[in-house]
Amino acid sequence: MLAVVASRPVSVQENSPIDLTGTWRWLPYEDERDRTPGAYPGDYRGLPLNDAARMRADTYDEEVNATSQLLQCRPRGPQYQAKGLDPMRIDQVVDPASRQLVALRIVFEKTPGERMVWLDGRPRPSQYALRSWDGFSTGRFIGDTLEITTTHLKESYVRRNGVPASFRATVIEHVSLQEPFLEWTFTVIDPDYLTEPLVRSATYVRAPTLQLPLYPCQPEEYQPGERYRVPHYLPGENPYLTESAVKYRMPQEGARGGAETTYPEWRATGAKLAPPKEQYQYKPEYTDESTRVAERADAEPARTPSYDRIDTLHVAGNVYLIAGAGANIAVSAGGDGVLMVDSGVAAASERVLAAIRQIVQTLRPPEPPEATSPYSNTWLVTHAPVEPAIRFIINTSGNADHVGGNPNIRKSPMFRLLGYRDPSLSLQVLAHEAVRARLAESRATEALAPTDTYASDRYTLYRFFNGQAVQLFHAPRAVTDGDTMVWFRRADVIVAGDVYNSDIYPPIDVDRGGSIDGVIDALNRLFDLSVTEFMAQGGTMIVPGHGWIGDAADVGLYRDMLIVIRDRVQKMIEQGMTLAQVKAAKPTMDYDPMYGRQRGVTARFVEAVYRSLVEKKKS
Amino acid sequence: MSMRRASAAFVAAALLAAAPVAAHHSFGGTYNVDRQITLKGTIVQLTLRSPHSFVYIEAPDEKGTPQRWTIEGASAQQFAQQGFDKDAFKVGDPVEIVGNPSRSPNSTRARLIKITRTTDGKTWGSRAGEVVN
Repeated sequence: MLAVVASRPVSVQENSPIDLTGTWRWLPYEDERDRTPGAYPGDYRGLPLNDAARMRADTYDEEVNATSQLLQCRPRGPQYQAKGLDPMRIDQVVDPASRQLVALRIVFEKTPGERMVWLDGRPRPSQYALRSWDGFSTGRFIGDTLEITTTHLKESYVRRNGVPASFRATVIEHVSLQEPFLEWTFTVIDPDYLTEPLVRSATYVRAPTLQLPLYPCQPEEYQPGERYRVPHYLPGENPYLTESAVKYRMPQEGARGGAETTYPEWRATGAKLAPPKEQYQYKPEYTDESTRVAERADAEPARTPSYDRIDTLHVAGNVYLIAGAGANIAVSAGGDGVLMVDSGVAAASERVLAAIRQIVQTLRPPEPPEATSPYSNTWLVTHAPVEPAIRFIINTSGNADHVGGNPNIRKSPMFRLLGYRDPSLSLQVLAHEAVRARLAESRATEALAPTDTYASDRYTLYRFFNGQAVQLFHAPRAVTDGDTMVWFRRADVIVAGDVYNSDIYPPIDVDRGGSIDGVIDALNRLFDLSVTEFMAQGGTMIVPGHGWIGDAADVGLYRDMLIVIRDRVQKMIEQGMTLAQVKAAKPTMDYDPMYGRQRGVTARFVEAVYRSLVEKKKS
Repeated sequence: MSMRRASAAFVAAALLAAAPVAAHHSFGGTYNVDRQITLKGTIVQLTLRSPHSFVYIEAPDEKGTPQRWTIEGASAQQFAQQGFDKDAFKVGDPVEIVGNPSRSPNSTRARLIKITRTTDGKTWGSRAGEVVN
């Protein structure tokens, strides 16, 4: 006789009412031409892009994916991934203590790791946090649909022909289950390059026996020396911009995309336009609002900067970032005390000192000391409050927002030098000799100036500090003639100074020895010193002069941008254009939404590029 | 810069119908998939890996000067599934390669369509399913 077992009601995960776990295979139903053989140059159909995005894509040469070791293994971000035909697996991450669902872990074949979709309501990271190709994702269920919101993305693309996705983009995904299918809708909201949200979708089908293959992507320099080459077209010179219109027999106006062309009403307009019979040299004109980002920034009233909000982030090893105090400040904190790289502005010094105190007092020995001492087992010894001891400062340049805090820090009781009792004999502030010379030239107060200088190509600190070598690299004729990059060898953190800034053009000062070629050379060196963990992200951490923590990929993309702009201005100079004409031609227009949103930045940058190239031509 | 094209015979070719296997970047964006070139040379390096594999050959240009060509193929995994493993072709093999040329006029790159070892006629690319995409 069979016993009937009365089942108890099974509780449903509050934050995950449906089970999305399993392996899934992509179905090639939609936008097939985007995959095979791949998007053609100039094909912007269905994309609500602005003129800045068009110019980026019009000047893009796909060969850059071969020359750039960074781009060879760049994974697809969520701006494109669901069009990427990769098989995919979704797992649950469960808190072992509560057995509550914490996150969904999504692994695509060609992604560098595991994309976490946090379901536990955790906050988003700081604006100064590292960005990744997958970004930072949180999720929630709306009925039976999972909604994923992703920020902290690196610059990427929405189509594989150079249509960009900015690092300011947010991606909203909606995932719903219609067994055995998974419908994946993804919406890209990009304030820099799209005029409307870009909504696309993809379908996956359950594939329970599918094993996700390994993807050991190995970048390589295919032809010697080409890692410094960035193929691109000068504006108006891409010969392929009408190819897709001819191939697909559509009007060129449709191929150019734009929000209006994505609505059914545009069919009537498109029907009146004839497709080109053969390819021709298309000369684009850019006129919309996105072409005036820099002008709008310049028209903003000048604002007094506020230093009320100071953010402190762990970077790697014993290196921390203090952001919001003018230029970024990197801090090595440990048993030897504190080494500061740059000091921010004077007005923020009190907050900077408070942040350093917080960092130092949060440090705890990770494990008992290796050497036995009479006190090693005493809790009070290992947990006693530590009074910070700032040993010295390294300045990456003489710019005011990098050295402004020097006098206040040096006057602070926390500034306790290594070495001699006579402070004048101890290392206090170290910078390149050119920084001292420029500050003297500008009659800056002596308290701002370095007490110690170096004049060589590289300089290694006389001793390990906090258990690691500290190396300085001079970047000649970069933003100024005295720029230094500081490498913490064990933590593998490089403090770049102003040669790299996350979201503004470099503040090149030609009058103080700066040049565009010098900045590019410095970025090449920075890129060569760096290693990535896997698939073009992570590994060496880069602290920029301003902005968020970066890695070699961010530096590489920034370098590529500068090379493209340098080549455009160079061409204009060869054509005999004056500085006023170059500025009017807007050679940075397509990058201004990303790097030109601060008042005065773009005009200063274009002028510096122009002047440094003209001076190079004369010499 | 002078044209560095090897002695390549350009022939008209129809677009290859290709199954949608994984491709990392856009082949249609990188190469002119409407055109084909034929190169005769010697393999000087062979790299089977992800995201794409590469056959490097040295082939004489129209002046007889050797040029190094970079021929891009599928990932190691896709190649292996199609019988193109590390033992299929070797450095030093004399080969004839049919490929799509780069869109950049001075580039010595091509996308692999077919490779034939001229000493024994061993071929990859001529049978169904042997595609690079």
